[in-house]
Amino acid sequence: MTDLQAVVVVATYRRPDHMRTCLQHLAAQTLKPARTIVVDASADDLTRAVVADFEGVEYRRNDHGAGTLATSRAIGIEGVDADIVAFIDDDAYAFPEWLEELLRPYDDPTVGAVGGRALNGQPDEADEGIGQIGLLLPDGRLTGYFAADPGRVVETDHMLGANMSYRLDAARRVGGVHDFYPGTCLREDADMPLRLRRDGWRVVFAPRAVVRHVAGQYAKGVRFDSRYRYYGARNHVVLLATALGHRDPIFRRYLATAMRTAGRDLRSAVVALKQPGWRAKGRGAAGGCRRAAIGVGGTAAGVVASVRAVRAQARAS
Amino acid sequence: MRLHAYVLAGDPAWIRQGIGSFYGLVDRIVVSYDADGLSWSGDPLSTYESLDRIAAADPDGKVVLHPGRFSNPDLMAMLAETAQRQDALDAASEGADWVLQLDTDEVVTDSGELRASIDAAEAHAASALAYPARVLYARADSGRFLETCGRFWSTQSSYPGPVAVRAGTTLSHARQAAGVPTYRVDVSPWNTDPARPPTTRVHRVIARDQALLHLSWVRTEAQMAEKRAVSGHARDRDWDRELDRWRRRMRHPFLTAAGAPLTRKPFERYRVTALPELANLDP
Repeated sequence: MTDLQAVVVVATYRRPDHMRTCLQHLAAQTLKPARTIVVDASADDLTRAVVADFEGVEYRRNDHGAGTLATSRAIGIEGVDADIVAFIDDDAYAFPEWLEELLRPYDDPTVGAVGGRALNGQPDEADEGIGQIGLLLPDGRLTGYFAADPGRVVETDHMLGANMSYRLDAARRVGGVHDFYPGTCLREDADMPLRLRRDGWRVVFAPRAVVRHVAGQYAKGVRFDSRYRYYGARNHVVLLATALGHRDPIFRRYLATAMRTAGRDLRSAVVALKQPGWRAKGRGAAGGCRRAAIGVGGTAAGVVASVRAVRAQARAS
Repeated sequence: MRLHAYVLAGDPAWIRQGIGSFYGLVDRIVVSYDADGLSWSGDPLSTYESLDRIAAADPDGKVVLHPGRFSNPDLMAMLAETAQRQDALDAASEGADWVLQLDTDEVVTDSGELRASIDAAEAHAASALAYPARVLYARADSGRFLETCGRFWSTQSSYPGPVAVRAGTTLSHARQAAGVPTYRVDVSPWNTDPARPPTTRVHRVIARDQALLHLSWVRTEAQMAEKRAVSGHARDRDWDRELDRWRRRMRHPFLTAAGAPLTRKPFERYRVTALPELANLDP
């Protein structure tokens, strides 16, 4: 068993019921964390009341409200002195060996970050995507597949925020947690791993560090709606610019990839016009055009936001 | 990591260059051949000429001969090919972590990059490596070849199946291994294989010059006549027409290349490529 000290941080927003279950699972860990810290961005005190029921769990507030998940993470590690910080979502329920397995790969001093599996309850999810878990592709896209079980620890480029950890001193050396990811907060979890990779650390996926991710309701909207897509496109550009730089070929390729994707969406709109029935034609064409517009709009907004983010990053360093 | 390879002996064209290009990379090469010297469809093969050439390309004694009976005229050639490849792969898997499966007319141009790609596939827990091959169609004149390409003469890759697989893999069709987690390398960040959707993911990018060279149709007239008889596609092609085109294109390489943007079939677009290192080599 490792002698590294780990702190567990749970960032939450208006999910007190999920929070209770999450803390119950953390209390049953085979390896106890040195500290468990809940950072709550809700305006009410429901979560505070839940946390009060768990002895030794610290409660911190994030007064910036919804859409500031990365800020919650930053508040969570403020003033914390530990070797490793592990993050788990309020709607992710850890298996008993979760923390123990998450810390195991840190025996290798070159490992800077470790992510684990998040089971979504989908059929075949354990097999899907093995060989391409958590990759940054040469065209700038990211792969996921964090429910896959490759059977051993594998190299990755990024992790899933619901189940990830990193060396605290390494994270502080690369500039700490950035919050350039508003809206749905998509991509904020990939920011630190990519910067650690750029700094020479290895990022790995430990398939035996498992959580059950029940996907609680969103603060606003639903998963995969237009808002989700818009912020996905916007924040992805910001991620690549801040983690890799505007001059990096992957950043430039991603802009080309985004335009290709928009082109394909527009083509799908044209193809839809060949379908029988006016209703199918209209829905298909409108859907393709909407997806293309969201993709282009989000990417353009991301380029503007990335310039501001890179400047802010430079000022901070 | 222990890397073995298997090859099928029967086609002597380019065998020395093919095996020589990955010889330093592997610990053992299993050579599978039909003991009766017959093709999958029952035609005589140049098996013993192939074995002689292989022996000449084996200074360190890495080659292990693995004869068997693979000819079966009653079976589709592709099924017989799959059976022979599986037999060879199983033999090559003994004591290996990964097995290279290259044809004897495929040349590795950068063995360091191929090895690095296999290492990357291993690190990401993939069980197969799809590695791009540039297909050379015909020799035009000294040092120049006709190469299959994209509509506007861009580099186009071909993937007949994974170039390397984890030991013990089950093949589904010829060299292909359906359903096996595959790590995919290409010469561009966006897929260049016309047989796959444009959204196909590329996991690693290599330079054009690091891709394999597939010299499948770069042959003499006599070798093409033999290929016509023994190929896995022997019975599903109009070979008279194909060979007429091949000769005409070889005679008029620039005219052939000029027609690429107007050609509808993506595997029949060609460009003229200079490869001086192959200029003085005989197939």
